[in-house]
Amino acid sequence: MEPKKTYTGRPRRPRKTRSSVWLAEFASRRLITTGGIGTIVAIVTVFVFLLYVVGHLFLSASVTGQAHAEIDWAQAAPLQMGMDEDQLMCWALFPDGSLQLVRLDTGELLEKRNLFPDQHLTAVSFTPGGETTALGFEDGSVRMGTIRFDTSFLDPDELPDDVRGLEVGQAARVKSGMVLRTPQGQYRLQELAVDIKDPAKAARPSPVLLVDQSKTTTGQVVTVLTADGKLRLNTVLEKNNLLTGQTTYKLSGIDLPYAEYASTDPPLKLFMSALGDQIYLFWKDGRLVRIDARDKAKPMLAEVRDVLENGSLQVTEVRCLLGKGTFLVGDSSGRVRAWFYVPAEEAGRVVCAHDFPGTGAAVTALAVSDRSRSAAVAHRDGKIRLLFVTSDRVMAELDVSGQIPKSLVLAPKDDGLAAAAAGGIWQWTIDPLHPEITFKSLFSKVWYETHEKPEFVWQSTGGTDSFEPKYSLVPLIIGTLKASFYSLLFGVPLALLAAIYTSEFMHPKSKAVVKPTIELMASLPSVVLGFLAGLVFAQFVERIVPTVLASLFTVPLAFLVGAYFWQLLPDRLAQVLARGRFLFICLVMPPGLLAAIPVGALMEQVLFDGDLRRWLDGGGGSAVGGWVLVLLPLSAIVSVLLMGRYVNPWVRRQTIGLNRLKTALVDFGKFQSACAGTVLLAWVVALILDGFGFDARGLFLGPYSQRNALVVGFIMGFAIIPIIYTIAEDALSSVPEHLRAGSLATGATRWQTAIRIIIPTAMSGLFSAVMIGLGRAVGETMIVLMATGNTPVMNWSIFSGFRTLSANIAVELPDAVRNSTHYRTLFLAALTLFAITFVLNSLAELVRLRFRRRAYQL
Amino acid sequence: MNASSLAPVTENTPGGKSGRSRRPRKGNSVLAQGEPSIWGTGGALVVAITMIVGLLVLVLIQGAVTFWPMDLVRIRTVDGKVYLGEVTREETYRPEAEVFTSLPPRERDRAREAVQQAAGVARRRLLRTGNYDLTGFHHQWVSDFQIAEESKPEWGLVVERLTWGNFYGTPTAFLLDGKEVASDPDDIWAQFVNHHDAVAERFSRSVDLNRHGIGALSRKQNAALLARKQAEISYGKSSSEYAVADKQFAEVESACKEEDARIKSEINTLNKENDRFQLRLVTADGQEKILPLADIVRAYPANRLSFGDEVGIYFSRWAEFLTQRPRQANTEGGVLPAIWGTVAMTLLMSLVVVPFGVLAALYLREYAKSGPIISVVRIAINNLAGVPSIVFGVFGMGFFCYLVGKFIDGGPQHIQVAPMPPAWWWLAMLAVVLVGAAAFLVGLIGARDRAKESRFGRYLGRFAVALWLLSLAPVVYVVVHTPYFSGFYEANLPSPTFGTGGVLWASLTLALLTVPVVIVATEESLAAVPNSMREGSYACGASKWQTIRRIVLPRALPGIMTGMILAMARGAGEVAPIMLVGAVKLAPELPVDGVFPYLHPSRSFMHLGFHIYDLGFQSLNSEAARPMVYTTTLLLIGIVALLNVMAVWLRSRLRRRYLVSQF
Repeated sequence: MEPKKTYTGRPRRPRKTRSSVWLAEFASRRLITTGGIGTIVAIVTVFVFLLYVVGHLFLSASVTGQAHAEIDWAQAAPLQMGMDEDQLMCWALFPDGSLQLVRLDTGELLEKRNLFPDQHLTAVSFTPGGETTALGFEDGSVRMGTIRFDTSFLDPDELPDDVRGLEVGQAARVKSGMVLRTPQGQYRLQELAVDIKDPAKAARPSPVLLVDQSKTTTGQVVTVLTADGKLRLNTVLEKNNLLTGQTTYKLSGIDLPYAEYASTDPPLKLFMSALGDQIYLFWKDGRLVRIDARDKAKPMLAEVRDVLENGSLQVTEVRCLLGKGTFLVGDSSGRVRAWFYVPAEEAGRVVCAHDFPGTGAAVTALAVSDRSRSAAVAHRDGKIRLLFVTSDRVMAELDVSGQIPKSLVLAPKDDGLAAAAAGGIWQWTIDPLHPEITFKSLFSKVWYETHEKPEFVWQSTGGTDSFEPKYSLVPLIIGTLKASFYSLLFGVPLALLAAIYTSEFMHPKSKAVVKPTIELMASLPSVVLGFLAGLVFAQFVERIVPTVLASLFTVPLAFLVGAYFWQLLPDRLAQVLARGRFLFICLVMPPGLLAAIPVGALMEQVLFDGDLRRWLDGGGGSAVGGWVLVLLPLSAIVSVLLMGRYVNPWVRRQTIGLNRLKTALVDFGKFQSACAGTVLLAWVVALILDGFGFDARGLFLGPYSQRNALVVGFIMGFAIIPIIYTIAEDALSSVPEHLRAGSLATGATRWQTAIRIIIPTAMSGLFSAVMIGLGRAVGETMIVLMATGNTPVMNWSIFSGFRTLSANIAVELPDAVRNSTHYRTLFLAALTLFAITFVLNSLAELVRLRFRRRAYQL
Repeated sequence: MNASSLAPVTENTPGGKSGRSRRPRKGNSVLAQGEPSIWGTGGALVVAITMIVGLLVLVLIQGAVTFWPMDLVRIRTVDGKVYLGEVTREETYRPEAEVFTSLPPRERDRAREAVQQAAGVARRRLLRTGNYDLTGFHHQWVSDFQIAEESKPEWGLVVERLTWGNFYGTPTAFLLDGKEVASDPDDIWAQFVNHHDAVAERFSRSVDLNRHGIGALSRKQNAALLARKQAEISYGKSSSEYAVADKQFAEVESACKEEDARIKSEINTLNKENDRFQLRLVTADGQEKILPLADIVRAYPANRLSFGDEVGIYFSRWAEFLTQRPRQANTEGGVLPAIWGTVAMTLLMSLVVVPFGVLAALYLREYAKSGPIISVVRIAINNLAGVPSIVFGVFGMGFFCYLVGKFIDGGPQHIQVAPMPPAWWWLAMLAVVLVGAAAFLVGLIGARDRAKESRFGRYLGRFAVALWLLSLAPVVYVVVHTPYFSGFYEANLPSPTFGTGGVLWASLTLALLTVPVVIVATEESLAAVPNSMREGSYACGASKWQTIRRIVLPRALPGIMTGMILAMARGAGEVAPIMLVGAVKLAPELPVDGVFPYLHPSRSFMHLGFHIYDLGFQSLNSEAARPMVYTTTLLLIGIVALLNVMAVWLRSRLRRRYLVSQF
């Protein structure tokens, strides 16, 4: 062949691919691969990021730094120490009334004051949270005051050169304080600020043994135990002298019942509650005496108990936690137990809610946090444990190398700890992370302060600083399950039955209209449904609860009754009308709805003593009515099963040879007796249950609230119908046509074909539809947000509200502080939702793939 | 209801087991047909359809009638109070015994008897009485038995005001410069109609001046202030840069002050001119009130309207709803910012989601080697479409707003990351660049070898991809730890710019949420392009990219469009995630407007769905908000339905096209 000439005469095209094509090929491949993988990576990032944020919750606290400075405090242990925010220095108050300020890194003494040169200090009390301090003296007087650090920012121009040259994060001494160069480049000065008020004289000058104070709404209250055996609850009276401008203080109060103990050894510790109405006395031998002073006119000795419950031990230290509600009792075995008072109508009691087992070495010192429920405990063998009381967690264990720690202090932000022993001061910086959260505190019962027993509670924020956050996910998970349960209960039967009708009995032309209409509903914004549920439907249902309940029974019954009447039609007429059957079914619905009104009224009269609301609130009427209502659906299922097993074969045998009309009549009779049997069964079981004293109120029924599970069940059921319907219908339609044709050809009716051939084949498809519906219901946010009261209560009552994981996130996340425990716990809720729905969907997908393979094989 | 409808499920085929030769043909067919069960399934469908239709009809009717002007009713109750207002709702209820005790004794028995005759049920109507500034309430329930006299006053006037909500009363005078110029209702009305348009025009001009003129000035001033602060942060107060910035700020400030005074005087003139016109009305209970015309949005004598007038008012209210900003804590006025916000966010989202979704689908369908990994990825992507939207919101808030946004605002330090020392950073940078370059080279070589169909080339290609993926984490690390970046909006700190919710973050979050929709739809349409066409193209000598561009993509385009529209419909209707990443109750400025740079990605925005939630559940006066909720709902459903119908239409078109291409 001639290479130059081609058949067409045109010059041959070049064989070599042009470089622009190469380049485009390379670039497009690179772009598509990068973009594709990038998109997939971005999607994975969602999961990874959630995991990353949540992961911090379960890390334990870490000790990030340690320092030791030698200070000669051998002569006495400090009564109390305090640390500044930057953990640069610490003050210590000694029994002789002197106050020392030292640098923590070098041990340098920055300042030393003798606070009370002409008084002898005998008792002190410090309240966690940086509140007022009470000091008691030998002359019987009491002084209030505060010892804390003052922060101010300095102008760089006024500073000496060596201080101005500080690197960020470094600190230096200025006068009697410390200056820190902050990350923002400012110079922050912290100084000790001591403000002790003038003495408040007591009526009888007797040395103060123990003292405690509380700031109540009515003023400052002080409880004083004096050496003459008097325990007095005093109010501090303030008097301003207008001429001199001086303020004088006086104590005035009542005697508390203490005579019984006046002659014994004085107690080890004295505390009063934040409201000033409970006074607690702890003795070395483990005795705890609680005096109830709610009634100021008649304070009474309310409770005496043993907090050790072991005669061979001794109480060595007691401290109260933030909020002055919980007391940590350390004993000679090293055990630390947390006690608090549980108020009750009649008689409250003090209970032990948390127990940290001992190590064998006695507790020598306790320190409590100013902002949370953590505490540090020092043992005689030099070990120091950092505890978090609510979650029973030991955050860290430290050691002061064989010395006996005599005094402890926690940094104001919980991120550090210092211990004083004979050898000086040991200091640790700690990253506490999130000690509130453990698997136990998230998923099992926790005993919170003032609660009667361990409970599941979600309450993330409170009004006061001393609020104990409660992070149990269980009420939210229960809420989520409840919402899903009731909506599936309503949505699944409707969607599946509707799908069966559409795919098996509907004319293709009608199907072409009906199916897209329902599919379109899948994209209806859920906020619309939520609005309708919360503002329209909830108000509507509230007015006609009995009618709504009745319609759950009357509407299906109406369809069935319609069908039995249809069967009475002559064969030929029925065949002619069969095309318009759907129209007739539609016509039956309004009578069914209308029937609900009288039936509802009747039901209310017979079952609920004439007033459903009152009955639900617990007033009047026996429990039978509620049980009947709950049991009716169950007994309907039972009677259907019994019918199918025993009655139907019998009816069939009996009707052989009867004509159509007679058969239909027998069938109708069977149906009626089945209905009667259902009601009877429910009634009998209800009577039995009532006889045994069970009551549905509190289980499935309860006081009515406007936005409740019934409303959510309806509307969210409605929201998941389209998705279940679409998938189920697809599954039913994709059953190969030859199966259907074969079945019909062998003489089976359409219904027999549907129930025996189509539905079993498509079963896995139907299952996956329900799974996906469940996934939707679990994660739905707007409907539950708008249609429930969003109260995290735990019950299964259909008439009460609840709070789901998703709604909880929507409500609380906008206010959560970034990276706080609350924030991360909400992320955990999101991750839980993610995991639940992902697993459900994957399960559904696997089942569906199996179904598809099977359908192709058939 | 579910159980009983399944009744004869377990029916046996007659005679099946017994093996008898003669099967009964008559009678039993009734049982075999399972009519009750069919009716049960049909009933479920009827209930579902009824609910859907009922819901749509409810929203449609409530949304459509809201703006129709109602007649004004004047009611004198038996205890002597007089109300004038529009009837918004009526219902029947069971009055408690205490209701009657508030009535005067003579009427009490009569009312009690009337209610008893009606089986304890009474009708009551909710009257919108307005005049909140005088009475302290917007609405009043009036039961039928309370009414002593009911009439429809001819000159009852509905006045929609800018503040305090509606006013209902009868006009007594039209004031010009404080002097009465008309006192007869006809004349007053004529005067009002005469002047109101001009007043409204002047008012809108003054509002425009205020918003655009003064707004622009304060923006300019703010920018200069920020520039000065930035100079202070970067160079220190004693530097020359700071001096320049300071001087500039002083100039801008003085210029702005002059301009400000000019605009303000202009506004003053307009307002002064407007203040001349006033309307004096008297309420039903005899209180007088003078309303400046400028405060009146719309007024009409409700009981004198012809049908044409009513239609006019109806449409003017719709126009106001669609084109105006909200007033009165969102309960009145329009929803333009919400529409605008929804549209802007959705468009921005589709700008992101479509390219990436299509790229991912192309990769999965055309480039990736199908194997177990790819099927797992495909299933995972399918499943992501079912992950609750709130989860994406949580991610968006934590990742975009609090991490990326804060990084943009203030650099590494703002997200509590310590920057690397410069030397280390450059070293790390160099390493990353080397790895990247290596990956690129390996990929290039691999591509050439692959063209020769060698196995080595394929391995090289995989190695390159692995290298790319491996270098991803170090790149992120190096970028996050840069010592040379301290934020684009450092001067604005601590108030966040990108570090909080905004339209950009909302659209990115929704893009993540909807990307599975696009991927699935695109993949389906790519799969639907017959392989024969690809093979034909290859046979003609086209390269892979040429085939995709010329043959595959055009055929798949309608499917891609469907995916995009479905994604938009889903994105437009989602509320839960955007609550967390930027939708707000009331945004002072639009995310897209006429001010450079036109698109403001950091601004928070209003959204129709969030508007519904906010109006229905956060509004103090939920009764007054109710009509607005319905109309907003109607609008949102309309938009979403329109998008969906478009998708359905496109899908059917696509199907037709495939049918053609099969031949």
